[in-house]
Amino acid sequence: MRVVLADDSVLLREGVARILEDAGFDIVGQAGTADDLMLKVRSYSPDVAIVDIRMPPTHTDEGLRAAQEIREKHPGIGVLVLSQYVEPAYAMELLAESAEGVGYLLKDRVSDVREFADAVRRVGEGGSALDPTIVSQLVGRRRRNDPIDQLTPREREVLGLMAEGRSNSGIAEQLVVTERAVEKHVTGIFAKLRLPAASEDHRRVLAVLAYLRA
Amino acid sequence: MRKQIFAVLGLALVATAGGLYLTFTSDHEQNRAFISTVYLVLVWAFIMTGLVALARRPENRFGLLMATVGITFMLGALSESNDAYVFAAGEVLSGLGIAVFIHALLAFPRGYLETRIVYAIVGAAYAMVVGLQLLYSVFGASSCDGCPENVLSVWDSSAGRTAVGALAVLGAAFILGGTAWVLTRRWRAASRPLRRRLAPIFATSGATLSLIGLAIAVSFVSGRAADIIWWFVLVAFASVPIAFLAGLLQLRLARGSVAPLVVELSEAESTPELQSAIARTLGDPDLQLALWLPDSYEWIDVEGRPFDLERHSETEGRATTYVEHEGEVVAALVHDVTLVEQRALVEAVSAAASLTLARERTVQALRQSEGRYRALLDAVPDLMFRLDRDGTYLDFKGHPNDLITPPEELLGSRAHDILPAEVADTIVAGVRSAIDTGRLVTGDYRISIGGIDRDFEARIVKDGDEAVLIAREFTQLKRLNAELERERDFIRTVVDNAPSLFCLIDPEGRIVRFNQTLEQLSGVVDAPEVRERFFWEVFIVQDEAGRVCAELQSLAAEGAAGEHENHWRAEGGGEALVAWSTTPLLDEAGRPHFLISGIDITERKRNEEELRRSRARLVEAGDAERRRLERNLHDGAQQRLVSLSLALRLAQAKLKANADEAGKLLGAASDELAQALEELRELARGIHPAVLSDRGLPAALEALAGRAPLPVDVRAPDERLPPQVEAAAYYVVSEALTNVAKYAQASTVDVRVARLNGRAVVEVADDGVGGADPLRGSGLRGLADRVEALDGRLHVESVQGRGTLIRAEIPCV
Repeated sequence: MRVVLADDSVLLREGVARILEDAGFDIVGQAGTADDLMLKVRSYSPDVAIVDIRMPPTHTDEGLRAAQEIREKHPGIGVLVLSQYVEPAYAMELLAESAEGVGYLLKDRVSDVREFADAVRRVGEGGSALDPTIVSQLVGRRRRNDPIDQLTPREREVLGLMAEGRSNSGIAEQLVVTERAVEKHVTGIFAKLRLPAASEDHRRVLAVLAYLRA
Repeated sequence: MRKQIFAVLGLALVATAGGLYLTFTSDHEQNRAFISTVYLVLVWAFIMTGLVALARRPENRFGLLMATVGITFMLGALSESNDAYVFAAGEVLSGLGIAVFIHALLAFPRGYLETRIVYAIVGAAYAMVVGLQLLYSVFGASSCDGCPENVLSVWDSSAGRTAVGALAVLGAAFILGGTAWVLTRRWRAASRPLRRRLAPIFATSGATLSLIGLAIAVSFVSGRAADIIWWFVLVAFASVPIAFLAGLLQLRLARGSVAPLVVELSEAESTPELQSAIARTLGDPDLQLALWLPDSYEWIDVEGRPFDLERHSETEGRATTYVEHEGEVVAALVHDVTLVEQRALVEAVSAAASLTLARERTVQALRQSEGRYRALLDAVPDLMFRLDRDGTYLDFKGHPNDLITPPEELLGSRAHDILPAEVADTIVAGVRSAIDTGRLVTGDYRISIGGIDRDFEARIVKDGDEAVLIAREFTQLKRLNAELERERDFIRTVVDNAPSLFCLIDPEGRIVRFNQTLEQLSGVVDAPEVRERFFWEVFIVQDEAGRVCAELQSLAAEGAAGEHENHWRAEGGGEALVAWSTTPLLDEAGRPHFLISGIDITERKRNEEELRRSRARLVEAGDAERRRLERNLHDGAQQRLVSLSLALRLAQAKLKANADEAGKLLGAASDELAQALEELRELARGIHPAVLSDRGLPAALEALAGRAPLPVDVRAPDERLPPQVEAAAYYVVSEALTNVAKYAQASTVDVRVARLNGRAVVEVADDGVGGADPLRGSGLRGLADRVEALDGRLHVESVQGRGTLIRAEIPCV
């Protein structure tokens, strides 16, 4: 899987590159700025671009805007945004219209190599990856007459993992249950939250997030 | 006067008796009876005339001169004497009468000689008649037949006698010519009345002198013819006093013409006619009549013009006679001075005219005062109307522009036909009231003339059965007054409603008056009993009154102004801090006063103090925040990094000896690191949430809401607000949510941000227990400081049991 890395910190960029190379990824390009990133993306047509949200010159949200641009211009290329902070607002911007081939993770996640590599692969394959912290915030957020209160703890776990962008098998693996059991939970959740069932993972993510944000 | 007359009469009688005696005893006089008759007639004609003239006007020496002519003439009788010496004297003095006659003639009518040439002529006459006669006798003039011997004869010389005769002719020519010349000049210069007086005398005297001249001239040709002419001279000579007496008689007769004058005068319709009638009667066409107006204290002529009586009276040859009526001067006649001679006539004329003059004078006075009043009326800008009691216009005076209708339509119209009913009612009522009561009625009314509203002040006075209305326009005045009033009201309103405290004091510091604002502050009402008290006594708190008194007194003395701050008495025993200053000011009467103007700065001072405290708190809060950060870093991330460093060293040391142990150590270190990262992240967010600047309030508040332990509903506008406002709003919500979580026991929280009239309004409302103390803890206080630093307001509403509402309003500038 071909990866382009963008981060203004060379140390971090090289570290991530090493981890991903070790995990079998092909790092085709590295960039220190948003412009450079766009150039590398166009040149190397990677499967996925990993982008730090803060980059020169203003160190605010250049990475985010670059990510949006990539998704617009190169819909086939997955974009994984890394951030020092967990900001649901940013996540929602990225996932506003589509959860296809998009991810938003806390930078800390890099240290969990297996999880990180999994997330990169998911995004590269057109799936989605949302940081658990954000998901837990969304799920944990208190609402009036909250239907989520009606969910069982297991169902809530499944809801969170769905929101993270995991597939049924991924959820099953995570929870150490059968895929069948996961499917049953998913059906229960959708029924309780009165959501229309969705077959594809990324559509399911979108539906769940839309519900959680409301 | 009588003495004089008797003396003259006595002298004349003695002279006559002497003369007659000598004539009748004369040896050489053949015609004794004739000569005596001539003496008696001629001499007494002069003497009587002189006495009459003397009796009429004793001060005039003409009468005396006339009598002297007669008496000296009598001296000629001495030549009838039989005694040689007396005879000689008679011969020498025989011509003296002629000289005196010339003297009298040239002194007529004033009685004295005027010019040098006249003196010369008279002197020459005296010298000649006496001197030449004497010389003639000295040269041995032969005496007549039977006459006594010429005792004066010294040198009998026929040539001498001839020479004296020639001299006599020359002298006579000079004297007669000179006299004729003087009389002609005098005649020419004479006024008509004077000529009338001069005429008889001049005619007879002129004839006499001419005959004398003729006789002298003829005597050279024929002595006999000359003798005949001398007889004529005598006759002419005798006619002179007769003519004089006839003149006097004429004056008496003229007095008789006064009677028709009275008729004429009473018929005179005008003063000019009167003047010409008087002039005619007195025979002085230049006569001027002047009327005395006692009211205006002046003389006027017959045309009614002012008359300078003094100037006219002092003119040469003019004299003034005053005309009296019932003991009062009514007029003056300025006439020829000769009319003084005819005082009786003038007085008779005056008396006849006085009645008419008195009447005429009244008319003139009336006319003059009417003229004056008319001029006065014309000068008065007021409109005047004469109305009868029905309100009909009879007359008016004024400018047609000031009338509501054309003047020709006005007269004869009734007020109600022309004026608006309301105004007409007022006017007619006023007219009736004035006519009925005779009192002055005043009022004012407004009418529209040519589309412009005009105000008139009316004064109505009774005039017989009618009334006169005098209307004076005061539109301008009224407008000015109204403007002044408005201006005054405006100033009063400004002064009363201005937030400033005003108090006017006199130089001693006594209150003159003060405005409502000060009334409201002090609770003292501006009343007369307050006005006489001292400013500091009434308005300044006791502790500072002394100082203010001193300041104001030095101000009055030195005029030094200054800004002061003092505590003034406030209503209900309170105090207000007032910044005040004084301005010198003249009052209505121009007396120096001082205007104290002050501003209640209690609130401002309090705000300033509050601001100062708030700033201090902000600084303190900043310091506290930095201390907290330092402590958190020190206790948290720093500690963890130190222990991480130790763990790594340990892991490194054990890597070869015990790989498992090293692996565990590294795992623990990794966890420690994750914790450190998490703590640093939270710390950083506490300093400033990145998303706030990147994405604005909705995103940042959503994040806050997401982390809150209870349902938070956020509604915020997508539009960006100024960064400092967003930050303040964010911290208000953050702090409020923290407080809600800590104390409120609420089930939900609503967070609303809206932009309203240029202000960001942030509300955080919970449904908790309420009863929050706004100033509890440093949290809310710090928030308030932060908001107020941006000119905003933080408002906390927290009623027990009804939740808490925190509302911040922050201007978006």
